[in-house]
Amino acid sequence: MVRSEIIVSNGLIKEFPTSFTLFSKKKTQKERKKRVLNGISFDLPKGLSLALLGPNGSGKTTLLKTLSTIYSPDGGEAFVCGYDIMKETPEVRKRISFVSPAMDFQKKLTLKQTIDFFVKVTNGDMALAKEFIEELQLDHLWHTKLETFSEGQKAITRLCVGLQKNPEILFADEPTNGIDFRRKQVVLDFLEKQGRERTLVLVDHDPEVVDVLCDKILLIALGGTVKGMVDVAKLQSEFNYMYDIMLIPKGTIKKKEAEEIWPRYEMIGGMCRFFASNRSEATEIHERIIQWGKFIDIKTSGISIEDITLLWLKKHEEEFEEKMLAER
Amino acid sequence: MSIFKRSPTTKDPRLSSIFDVTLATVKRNLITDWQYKSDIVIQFLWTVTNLVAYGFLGLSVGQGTGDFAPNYSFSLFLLSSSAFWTLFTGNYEETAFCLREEAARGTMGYLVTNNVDTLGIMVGRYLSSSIKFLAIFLVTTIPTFALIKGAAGNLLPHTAREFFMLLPLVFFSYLFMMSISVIMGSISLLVKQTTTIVRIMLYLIRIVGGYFFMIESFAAYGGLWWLPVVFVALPIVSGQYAFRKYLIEHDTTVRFPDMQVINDHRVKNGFAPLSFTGLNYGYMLLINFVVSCLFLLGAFLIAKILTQVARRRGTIEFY
Repeated sequence: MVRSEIIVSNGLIKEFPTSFTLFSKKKTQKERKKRVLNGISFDLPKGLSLALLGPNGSGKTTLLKTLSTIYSPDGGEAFVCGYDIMKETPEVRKRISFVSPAMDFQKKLTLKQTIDFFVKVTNGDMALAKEFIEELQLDHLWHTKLETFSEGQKAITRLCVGLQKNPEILFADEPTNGIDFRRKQVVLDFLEKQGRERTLVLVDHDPEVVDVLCDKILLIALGGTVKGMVDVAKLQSEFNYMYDIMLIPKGTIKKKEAEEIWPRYEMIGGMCRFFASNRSEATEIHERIIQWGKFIDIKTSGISIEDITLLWLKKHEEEFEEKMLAER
Repeated sequence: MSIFKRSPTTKDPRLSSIFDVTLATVKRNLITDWQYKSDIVIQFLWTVTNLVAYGFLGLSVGQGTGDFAPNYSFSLFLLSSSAFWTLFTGNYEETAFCLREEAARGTMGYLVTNNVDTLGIMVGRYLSSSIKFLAIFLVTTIPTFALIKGAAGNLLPHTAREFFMLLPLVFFSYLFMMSISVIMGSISLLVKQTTTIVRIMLYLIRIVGGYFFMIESFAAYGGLWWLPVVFVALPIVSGQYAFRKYLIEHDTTVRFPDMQVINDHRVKNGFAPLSFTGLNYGYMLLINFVVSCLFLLGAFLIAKILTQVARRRGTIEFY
């Protein structure tokens, strides 16, 4: 069955056995399994790219691997490029590629020999691989063994291996991990242009990567359920934050006091968290807190994309509930 | 055409065949193996050590005196075992562990999502390792056999007939061991600590195959006269049997197994003589062909099934 969406997931379930022990006290099938994905449902229209976000252990990588047919699901159904991942696995595999940061290579082979192997086993395109390597200025290492490659150069090689097949969807787990700042920009530019041609499905905590490469964010909660799906553009327009400043007050801080310090804030228990869009705003918040004076500590950190998504979801909670009720 | 302008849909997607995968794997492994020259030297030294150790072990035993002892020196008996198994030990072990190595390198996920057949990876590893260990066999065993010429006999073929009769049996032995290697390699998709089980299997096949003693010895126990007949139907066993009969005894008219030896023993112990006189060369080839095909088919099915189970259990990428 051909669908207009590039990915459709309906109640996808994935369970892993907890152990192989022959003499396990756990008697029932249910006890012996840990459910990692618990009914994941979402649609991704053609032409859009997706970031999977969520806390550690929420099942992002498992979802990525299930959709890319490494794992077979234990329940629900999913369609990738219009094909059922269970019943039409080879058709799906013809059209996708998967890149993981754990992927390493035979160190004694040269870059050319490595790419040549993957091109042959995947029926890929050596010309495409060469263009990619030239574009990312790695062609001078064409006849160099991979044992001398830096982590960044290996990350580029991984991407090349993933893209040489010219897939419709590239599933990637932290694709820019380990790449130096200068090359990261080049890779992001490259993938951004690629994103116009093909769908990217990423697991990445880097706000810059998500911002540049993805159109939508699927937020997964602990327990393997979907918390929500958000448009990156909407997110950026409403919550264009880069830093959060955590204030630990002496005693408690009142809402009015917080508002006077900075209008964009969130109360967490007795503490208060302020959001700044840039460095100068962060400095200003610091100055105002110091002026206010009733604090024990101030902690400043870069805000994660998950946090921004959660804020967005919190703001639009009612809207979401209504939408979900309507869907049901 | 620039990569940026090329749409993924312009190319009709096609998956690589198992032959493409096998050939690419053979090429990659040969290049890699050649890069690790120190490893080849160690494997060469290990083979020589084995030959020397078994040679001296045999010398210390001298001529066997038991009912099922060979009618030549035990040194030759063990040397021929060690030489024959040089062809099948290293490639078996390297194939049995090759998927674990892919998983450790983190390439399993990528290969699976590209429908790259695990069978192709294992067969490719087996073929490239077989080339390597054939080279080691030629370098180590032929000089050893030439050295002992005159002192204890001559283990090299005397006639072209001996050589050409041995070739198909060795070929079927390769096929048989390939299927066992693939089965053991597939098990590593589910169970990650397979070192012990791989070695136990090798040891069992060697026991059954007459590495340490003549397979006719199995008939010494009660009514188990048929046990050597069953075992010799396994290509690796008949290959070893022929290797010894052709190269030590230079007897190409031998039947598999030697029922005369079994009958003599049975008569001694008061059993009724048998009408079965062992299998001749032609039947042996046919049986080897059928058994090899069955084992290859079994290995293929097991590899497919265990890959599916590993996908379900989520162990396909673990190592």
